[in-house]
Amino acid sequence: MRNTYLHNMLDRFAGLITKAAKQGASAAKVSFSHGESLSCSFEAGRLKYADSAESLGYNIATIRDGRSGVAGGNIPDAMDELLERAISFARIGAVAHFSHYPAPGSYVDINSDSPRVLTLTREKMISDCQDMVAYVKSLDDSLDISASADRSESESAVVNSAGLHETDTQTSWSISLGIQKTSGTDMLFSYAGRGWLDLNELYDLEALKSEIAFDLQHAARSAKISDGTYPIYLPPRMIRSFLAPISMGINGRDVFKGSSPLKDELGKQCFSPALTIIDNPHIDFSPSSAAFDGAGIATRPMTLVDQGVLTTFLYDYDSACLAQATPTGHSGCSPYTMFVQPGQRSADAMLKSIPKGLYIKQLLGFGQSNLANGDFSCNAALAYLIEDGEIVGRVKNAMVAGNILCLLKGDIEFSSDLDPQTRQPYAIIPGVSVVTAKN
Amino acid sequence: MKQQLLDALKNCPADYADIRFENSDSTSLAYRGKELDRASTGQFSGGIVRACKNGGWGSCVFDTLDDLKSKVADACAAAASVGKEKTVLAEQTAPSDQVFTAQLKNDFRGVSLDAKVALVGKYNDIVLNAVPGVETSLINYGENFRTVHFASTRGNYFMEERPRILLYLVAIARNGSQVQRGSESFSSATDFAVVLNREDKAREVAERAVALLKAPQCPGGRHNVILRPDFSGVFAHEAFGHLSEADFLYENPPMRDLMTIGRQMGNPDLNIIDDGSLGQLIGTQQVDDEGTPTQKTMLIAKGVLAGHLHSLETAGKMGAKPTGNARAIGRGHQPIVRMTNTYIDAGTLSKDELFAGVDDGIYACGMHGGQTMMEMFTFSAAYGYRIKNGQIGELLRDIVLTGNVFETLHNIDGIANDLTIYELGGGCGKGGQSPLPVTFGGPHIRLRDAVIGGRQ
Repeated sequence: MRNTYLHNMLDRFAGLITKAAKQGASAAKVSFSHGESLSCSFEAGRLKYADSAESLGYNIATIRDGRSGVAGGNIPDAMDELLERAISFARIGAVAHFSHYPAPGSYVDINSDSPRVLTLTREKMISDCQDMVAYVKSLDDSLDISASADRSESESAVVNSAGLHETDTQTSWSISLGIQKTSGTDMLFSYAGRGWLDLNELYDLEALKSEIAFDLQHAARSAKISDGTYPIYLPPRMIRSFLAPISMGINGRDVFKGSSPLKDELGKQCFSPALTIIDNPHIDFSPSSAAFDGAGIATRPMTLVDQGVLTTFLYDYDSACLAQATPTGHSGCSPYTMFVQPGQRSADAMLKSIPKGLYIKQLLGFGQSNLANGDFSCNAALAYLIEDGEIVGRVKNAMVAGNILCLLKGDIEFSSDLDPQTRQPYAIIPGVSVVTAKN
Repeated sequence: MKQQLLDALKNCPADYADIRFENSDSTSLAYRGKELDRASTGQFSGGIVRACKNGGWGSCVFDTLDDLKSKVADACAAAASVGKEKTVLAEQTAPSDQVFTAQLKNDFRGVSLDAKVALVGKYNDIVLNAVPGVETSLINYGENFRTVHFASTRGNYFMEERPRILLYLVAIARNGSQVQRGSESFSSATDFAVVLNREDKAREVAERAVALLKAPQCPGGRHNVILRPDFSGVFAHEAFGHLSEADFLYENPPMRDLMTIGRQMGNPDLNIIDDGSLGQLIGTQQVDDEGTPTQKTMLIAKGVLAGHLHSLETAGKMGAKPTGNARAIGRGHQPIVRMTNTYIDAGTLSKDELFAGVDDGIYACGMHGGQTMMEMFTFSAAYGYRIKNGQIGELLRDIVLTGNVFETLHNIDGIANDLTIYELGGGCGKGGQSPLPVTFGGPHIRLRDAVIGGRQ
């Protein structure tokens, strides 16, 4: 990094914790991060932007007389002032359900910093994007092509009044490729992207090119589907969306407050036995990994759904104290990364077994549904008709709808092979309602 | 500040460069259930240097004004490594020195934190106790005061204060595994009073959340739909507004052809407008984030495509005038072409005449959100009602419309005369910049044969 702040700031963080205690705070925490990044972007098939960024941020949390106050900022000289504001907010602030942070635990080492990422110069990123753009142009020179890449490095620290004193450094990269094909009022958008904290085999330009080529090939033909109920075939990138109602439903704070539809389902067979979900925060170089949560509780891999049985709710420290539950090491009571466990058949074999269905690659408006209740109703923005196990063409102007919590009770299936980036399988979910604009 | 920014740009080797620097101060309070769940405050500053050389752009995002000249140099060097053609940016008519202080009617900075907590707590009590069946609540108050400074190599400078206050009222009702929400939101750029006296709305969201537990899902299929003004505004924004943003068009020849000025888009009663200079709404700015004055732009006039929304670059490359729509969500972001206050203009029919034309249909109310992929869009109503013989009937939930904009605009067959513009919470998302403050508006409109997702 061109600039590093961490080592100069650690004493200052400790000073803030001491100062908070002198002002009556029973607990205090300072979180800090600082990062630098380089990026490039291609638009309309040519290099358009080269950007750099440096940003710093910190958060000060205090608990005093059973109430918490939080202040955030990015001006190092304003730290003392923001501590005063955090304490002032705690005077009438949010109800805290603990008065002291727990003692620091023993934490696993998770790799997050790779010198190899720093070999990714801006020139290299521009060259790689250029390579992808040239390939897609060779397929169809009428396309509107975009590509981008970035690399970043950061340093972070968290210090609290219970003695937690952890620092970390992290590297990361991401790269993406997208196209828009416009024919009259008909448009196709296709996008592929990857990212990781280590520059390993996932940095694979060919994989991105293949994904775009797949869509250009299969969307070249259009297909019609009648209104009705069909199985949908989901690629790994879509799986996380369909897990959203479970992710929201196992939030321990929501369970305690009563707003989770899964409140009364712990230990019950809620879903198909084909569904097992593991939350794993210990994967090296995964952007969502963490050794401990915001209160310093050690994380661990956990089975969330075991052969369809809901096995746990997730609690951060405050919510666990509120609900008189055991903290699970999940900040905000949310999972790190939910991995669906693989099934028996290959993705190809599953596809070939579908007599008639929809292969859904993108949904438009999915997030605007009442997902907390499991409901979705959205446009199948990029979907292909499957007939007799073959992709026969693109279906447009179709709405798909259903309740995910109900659909996952059905005869669902997951593939034996996993996508290397997301580590998720392909899925078949039967019983999805389809309504089209015209028959 | 002005001189510091202009000095840093002196002798800049780029064809064009600008610096935007912001300070922001914010407070957020949230009740969730019986307790105050969050009380936080933030104070941030930072900015971005942009440079354009031979048509290529470089930028440098920073937190402090220290060594600003080197940040300008970084952005200029990056731009020079990118550009390989001629820089084409539209001219601006803006005066070179502008200061816009906020015109606050009731300054939220003068209201004590205790009073704000008490206000939010009062609404929370109403939501939780108004009607049996409410399981929990989410009452969120937020305020933010941004001060934006801008200077460019054209010698332009502006400072604009951009405050915002918002209130969300959400009731969550549950019956077994069935969870439904009732919600309302309010926002203002000028007046703390927007969050006062909302007791009736707090009761309304509680009653609606409970009522939605028993409401049937809207049946999927093709329906005649009347959109309430708060929903027709979202329709204007999602279904058409984004398509008029020229950064989607200017380097994409097929899209430029598709969106040629003069194209027939809908019936002759249809007028859609974006107006960043309208009153003192949350989508209103005196100037955009390139220093161009905001203005009223006719997007569709009498059913015909009449205009696009522009930045300096899109206007320059399309031979148009900039419209003041280059907006950035905050200090570290580049300005991109965005809407401001977008609405369908009033028609001539009364609301009763509009309903009289529907024997069997759906009345879609409230804004839950929307998304577009240019020709394709979806937007979700918070709730709605069945219409039978022109009369409003039973409550319905899960109303999500979709369509192709080039077909759907032609399917508007009635526009009422009751134009209303809404300042709500939330905002618009584009290019990773969300939520940008915008307003939506329109009258009641009637849509023939609209596709609604769901079980049949």
